Amino acid sequence: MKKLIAIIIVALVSQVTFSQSVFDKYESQRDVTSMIVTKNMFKLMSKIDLSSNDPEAQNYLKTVENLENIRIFTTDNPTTAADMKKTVESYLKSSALSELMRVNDDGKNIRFYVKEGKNENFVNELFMFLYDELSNDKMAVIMSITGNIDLREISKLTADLNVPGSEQLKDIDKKKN
Amino acid sequence: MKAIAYITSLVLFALFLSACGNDVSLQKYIVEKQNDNDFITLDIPSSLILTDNNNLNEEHLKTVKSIKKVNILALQLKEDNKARYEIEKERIKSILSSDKYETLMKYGSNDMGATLMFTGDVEAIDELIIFASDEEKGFGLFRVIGDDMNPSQVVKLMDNVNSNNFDFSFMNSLGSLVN
Repeated sequence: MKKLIAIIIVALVSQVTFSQSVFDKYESQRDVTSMIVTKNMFKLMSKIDLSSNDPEAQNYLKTVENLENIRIFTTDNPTTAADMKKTVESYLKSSALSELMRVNDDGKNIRFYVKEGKNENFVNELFMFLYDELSNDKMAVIMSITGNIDLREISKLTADLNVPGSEQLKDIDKKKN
Repeated sequence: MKAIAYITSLVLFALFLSACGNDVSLQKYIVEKQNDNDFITLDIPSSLILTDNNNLNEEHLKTVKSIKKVNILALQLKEDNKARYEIEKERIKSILSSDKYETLMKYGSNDMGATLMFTGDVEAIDELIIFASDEEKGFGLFRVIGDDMNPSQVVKLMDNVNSNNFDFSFMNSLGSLVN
């Protein structure tokens, strides 16, 4: 009986914490610019009938429909940037992400990680971390996209969101093959 | 076994109560502020802004009817009300943190923040809320209340939003309130 109650409580609590991410703490931090788009928004966007016959727009909507969450956190405060680096490191240790590519662009260190999906073109998470240690304007950017992500289409979306490194993402498909 | 049933029903009842409680509170908060001179409030029933000689078709009229009213509530930040601004901002935030409201988008930066939320289903929205704050200007809450508002129908209606079909004179009164 006690066991059952314990299970119910654990189930309730875990449900609450499930949607939380280790990066949520940056949402309310003053020196962080954050942007979060949820599954509901993607569902809503895909439901809006743009009556478009443009195959590219249709493809775009299809990509968007399968997304769960987009989280982007940017800071140019050196202390926060260092803290982000620590959080990212521990996140990478605890989750099943593998490195997709590394870019060194003008002193900016950009790394892309993915969580494997249903086949080689799809991933369940695309994670990007930019850390600029050398330059004067020390900055960090964390981007996490979850869902059923088509790697061949995602670079268009990241380019629209102005995510650093999206240029390099465009070549992802070519690199894989 | 009885105890479990008892606890379960108690939990459910508590959930039910909290859901109802929150339901009242945003409405209650807005009503409370309607008599407060520091706040700018506006309550516009959609029926009021529809002109008599509009040329909307039946589908569009159905969409307009699904939108019941629009609420606007704003607090301008002035030199002497910084403390109050913070208190009221936290109150709204705590109301909106209820599970009832599902987040669509969130943006935050040094001194600006905006959240887009809704209740209902993505194809049948009951309430759409935008809460935005700016540490220099103040905050604003924009709320659209309706009954099964369909986003794609609303987008279609947007093409027909013009002064011929809708009366936007309330905007002038809003402008004069701010100045």
